[in-house]
Amino acid sequence: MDTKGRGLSVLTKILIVDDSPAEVRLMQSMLDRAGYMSVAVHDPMRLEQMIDMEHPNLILMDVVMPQRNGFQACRELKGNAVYARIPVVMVSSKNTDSDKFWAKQQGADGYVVKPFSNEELLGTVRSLVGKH
Amino acid sequence: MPDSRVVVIADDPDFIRDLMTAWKADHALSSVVARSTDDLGGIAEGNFDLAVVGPVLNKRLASVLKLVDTGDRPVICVLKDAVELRALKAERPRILALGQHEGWVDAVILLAAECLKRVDLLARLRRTEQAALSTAHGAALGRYMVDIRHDLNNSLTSVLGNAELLLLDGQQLPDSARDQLQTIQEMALHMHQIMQRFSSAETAAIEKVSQAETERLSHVAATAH
Repeated sequence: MDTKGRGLSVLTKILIVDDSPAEVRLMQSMLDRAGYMSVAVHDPMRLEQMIDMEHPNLILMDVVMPQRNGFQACRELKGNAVYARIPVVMVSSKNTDSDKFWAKQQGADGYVVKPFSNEELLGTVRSLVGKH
Repeated sequence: MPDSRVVVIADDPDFIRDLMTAWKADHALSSVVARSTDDLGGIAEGNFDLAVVGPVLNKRLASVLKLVDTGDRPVICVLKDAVELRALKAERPRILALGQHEGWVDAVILLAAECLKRVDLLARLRRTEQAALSTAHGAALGRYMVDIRHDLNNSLTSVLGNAELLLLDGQQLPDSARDQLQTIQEMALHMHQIMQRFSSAETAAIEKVSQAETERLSHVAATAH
């Protein structure tokens, strides 16, 4: 299982869905430093399995991934009553208005453009799950 | 095909007069220029879309046909002599050879109209193929640029983010190390700004190509009807 829980707090758990290990490490560092617990999955096909296992409070979702892109995964989560309540933040290097509009159409609750700063990522997370 | 250029080469004034009179009566045909074999300037440069060769002075037919039959333009040749006609068909099968029998003028006009129609359609086809090729090249380049931008942005995310985290947590680092981290972060930010300019230019270029191609293809489609 490509998950790696960090920190002792289990109050707020963030699931990172990204096929790039370097970006996962970076987001985990930022989240851990702010007191969140983070887990990750590199294979978007295993997203639901990971949610069932970890029960995250928020999902950070990459867009460009093999086999199943982030928009598609978001749309499927939001169309499933079991997972629809979990906030999803798209994390993407696509920064046009149409990309952001499309993310919203798929049910995304937030959008962070790469490259992002520590504050940009944490600000979006805080706005959806509260401060740690 | 009003833009087509037709040249009639003959040394027989009656042949030229009959053909030109019929030609001018047919408004669908393009402009035509008559030349004798003593005045073939410009023919070698290929300044015509269709050549009609009629009776010429003795022994000049071979050199005239050699001049006009370059392989990329239609040539109609009208001959009186049946033996000569058969020989021409055997020797130069690409040339459209007609006998100068009764009704030959109508036959030449009809054949010329069909040849010009074909020339025009081939030219349009070539333009459309070039436009499609250009669009395909533009699309491939666009996809390549989008891929590069995506990969660079992903790399920059890690460089910028990790530099920022190190600076946030690195109070105990020596000043020189903090300066170096600061430089890494500033340069990465600079690269990010370049990528944003690149992205704007890319979007503008794609929109420009798309608009130009749309206009060109619309024009081709409109003129084809």
